[in-house]
Amino acid sequence: MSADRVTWVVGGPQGSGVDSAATIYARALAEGKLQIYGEREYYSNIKGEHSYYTVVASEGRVRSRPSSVHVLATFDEETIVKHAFDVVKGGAIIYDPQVENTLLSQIPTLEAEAVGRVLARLGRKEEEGKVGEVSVKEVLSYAESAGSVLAPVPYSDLTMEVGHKLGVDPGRLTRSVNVMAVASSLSLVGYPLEFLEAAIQKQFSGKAAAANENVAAARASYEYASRFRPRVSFTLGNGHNSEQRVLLQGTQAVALGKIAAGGRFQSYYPISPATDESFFLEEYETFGRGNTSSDYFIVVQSEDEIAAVTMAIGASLAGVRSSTATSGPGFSLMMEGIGWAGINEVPLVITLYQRGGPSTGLPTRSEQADLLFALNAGHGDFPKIVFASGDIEECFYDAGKAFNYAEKYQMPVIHLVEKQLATGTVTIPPFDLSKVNIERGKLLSGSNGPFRRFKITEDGVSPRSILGQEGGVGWYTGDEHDEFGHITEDPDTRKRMMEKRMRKLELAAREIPLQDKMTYYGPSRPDHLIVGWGGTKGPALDALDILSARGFSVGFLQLKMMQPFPSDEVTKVIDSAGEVISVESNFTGQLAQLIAQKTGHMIKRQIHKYTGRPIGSDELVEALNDMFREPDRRLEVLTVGA
Amino acid sequence: MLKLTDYRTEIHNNWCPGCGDFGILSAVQMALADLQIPPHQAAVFSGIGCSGKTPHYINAYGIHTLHGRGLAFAQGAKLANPELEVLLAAGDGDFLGIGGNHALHAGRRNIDLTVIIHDNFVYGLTKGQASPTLGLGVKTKGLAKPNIQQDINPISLAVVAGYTFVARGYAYDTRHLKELIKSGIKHKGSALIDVLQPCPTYDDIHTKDWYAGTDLKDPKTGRSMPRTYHLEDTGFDPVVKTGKEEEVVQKMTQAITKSFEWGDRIPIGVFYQNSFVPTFEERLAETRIPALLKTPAASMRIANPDGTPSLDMTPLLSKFTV
Repeated sequence: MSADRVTWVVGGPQGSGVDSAATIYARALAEGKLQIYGEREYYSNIKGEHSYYTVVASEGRVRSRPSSVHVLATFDEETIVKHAFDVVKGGAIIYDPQVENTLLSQIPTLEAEAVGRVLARLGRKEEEGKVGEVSVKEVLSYAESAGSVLAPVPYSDLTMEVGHKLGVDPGRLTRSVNVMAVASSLSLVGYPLEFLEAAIQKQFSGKAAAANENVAAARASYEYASRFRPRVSFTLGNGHNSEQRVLLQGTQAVALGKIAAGGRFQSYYPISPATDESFFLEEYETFGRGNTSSDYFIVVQSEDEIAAVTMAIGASLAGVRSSTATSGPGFSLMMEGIGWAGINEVPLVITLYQRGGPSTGLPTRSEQADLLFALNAGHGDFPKIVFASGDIEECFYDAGKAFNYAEKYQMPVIHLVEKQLATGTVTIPPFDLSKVNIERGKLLSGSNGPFRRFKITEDGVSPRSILGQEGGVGWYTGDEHDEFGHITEDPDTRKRMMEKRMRKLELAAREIPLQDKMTYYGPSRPDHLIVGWGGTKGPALDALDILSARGFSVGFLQLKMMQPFPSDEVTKVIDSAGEVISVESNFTGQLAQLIAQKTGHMIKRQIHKYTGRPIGSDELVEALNDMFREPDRRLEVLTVGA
Repeated sequence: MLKLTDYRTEIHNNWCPGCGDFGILSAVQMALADLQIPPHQAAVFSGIGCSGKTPHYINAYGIHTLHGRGLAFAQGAKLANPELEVLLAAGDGDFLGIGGNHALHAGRRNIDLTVIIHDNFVYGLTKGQASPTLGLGVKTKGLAKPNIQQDINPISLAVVAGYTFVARGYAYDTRHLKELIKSGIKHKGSALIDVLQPCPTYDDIHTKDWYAGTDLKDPKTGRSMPRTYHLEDTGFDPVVKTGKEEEVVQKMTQAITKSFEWGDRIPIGVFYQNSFVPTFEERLAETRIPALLKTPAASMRIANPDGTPSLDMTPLLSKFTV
């Protein structure tokens, strides 16, 4: 049968080529006009720990990852024992037959808890001394008895064969194992080899020898694996929608969004998973035009995040659209800078890539636990805008909007993204640059007597000068200040300045259109309203489709703008629904807390996930289904994902 | 022709009477006037503490930032607009204590700016705690017990960190200090001037009299022997002439050795100057972004009149097209 969606997982030790396999696989599918959605999972480790990539392919748009796997490609034992149980009936497991006899106790990176879970699945009691006797083969046999097709592919024999044929050292071809895993996978589902060959040619363009070797390796393994195809129940044909698309990751979408919107300065300190964005900006600092380009982007790697945020503020004072990108621990260090930008009304954009906390927490995993922290970042009362993107496409446009908010309302803007989106890979429609509208806010033009940088105005926004501008000399201070920017402790001025600054938030609330604050999907008076934010959008919309097809009346409210918060509009949607369930990747239900604070509505039923793995569509459907059937259920905790 | 008064502001100055900050402020204003730098082209940054108030008293763009972070703000501004004349009025605790990490790493970049450390051995605004430049075992008036932490030598630190112009001045040798500041501003690269200054309120040791050497009498004349003396009068040559590694090491070593002279004789003047090290701006411009020094990022056009991006993103976006 032809699956509507085919889910492929490739896994192996970090550094074994999992990422490059996934890239080639995704490109091969894109060559065949399929749409893809990819999620990457890895440890905070350079080499050796288990990493895996999930790629979901479909003719239509894919927004999330189901928990069941159609094809599992493995580079090691650990991938087999951690993912074999997820393979659906009629799906396949590709592995090197050499690993069959390895005992679980011989897999050094396999956690004791993971061993326990494997034994439980095999129906074995975890007894002292018995653990080490279980082999990978038993796991494979179990999977086979459950309906999975075992597809042993002897990579080393195939590399010998291909090497011999090409007359090259087979040692060279060990680098092609990732391509061989991809070719075997595509062979099992009958996906045309030509698209993979095209992807390889593009990947290795300019390196003819490497391209030839990889194509030969791909052909040999595609041919070899075809012997298993008849037993695999799923096929994957190429797509037919020839509309152009882009294939990229979340960090790239944010970086491109910043470039498009005129961001020209970014300072950062290395931190996962935020660094990729800054790295990309530096790599393309002249926007792919070489060093004759008159346009450029300055990226500075600073000594710490305190310097990162304050350098960006300095650059912004000089008139450049400036930003920094970080994750929880770095964001913690940025607090004082955010407060300074707040009281000095400096446009500042911070892209906050949330990861598992607290402290270093889960450095390479996803979470949505920094919402309340971002809202409360910095001591004292000052206005800031906090908003969250729901998917990678939104990331691009939102990165640009962040600069508009920052400059129009002259305040720090925190753009929330999650690791799940940062390292996720998707195909999306090409970016529409006509939708990028650059608004720089009130700027001083001409000069007319001493300049009052912090002139009290009706809407709270004062025209600003930039450092170096004639007629615009003024002062900035983190102390309370008068209209000129000089220190004051006068109670009346303090009161007026506080009110002036806070008025800007009311202005932002009035001016920012509703579609940039929240989006509602579903029927007008749903029985069940799901409320979520950020990366929850994908699985929630997929769950919505599935549950609606089952006859449920369900809607999904995606919150984007956390401050200024669209209280009235949220209240309206909540009031129109039979009941409300919130879905968040955190422990305490932070959005639900915010909604309670801003609307007075307590969301009594919540779904949380805090394993650091993104919410999958299947587990969300099940949890919602259970909650719909059992009105007394208050909390569901999701756990899917290795 | 810009006059000294063009660099003054009319706001009330609330430093203590007799504070060394007054001498530093005058020297900065005189240097700006001598160099005829228009107020709008100068950006004076500061951190927190008594020194932090300096920008408010200067008619130029004044940015009174966070404790220890002035240098990071300043570097961001300078990179965004290399045409700006960027100065930092730093405090000894501000710069070498809480801002130590920024102080250190700025040397690696050598961005073209001038740092002036207001060095009075104490945290004045918080009532006299020991700053990182106060010597071990010294007990100033504001301390309950003698200082139990060793001092940092700002000159040595600056030389080792990579600052390419390193000098020491004295707040009440204002004309000499003015010349140091002018040289620092003219120097292309990161200049650091450590300025000794009395804190009349909390430091009863490094007083104006102490610097004037009223406790040291010339046995012949019976007159006070000032502790500070001008390095340049002694034939000390701080300038790197060839840029060869051997010479650079020799000049650095000489500066470090000299910087430890302390007590009855305190050298002030330029300790080290090396104009052969490219600035961060030059490094970027020479190897990667030639446009950087032609068009400051601050004046780069980013939008068309209709608000759409002026940059043609086709070459960049095509890399992602499938």
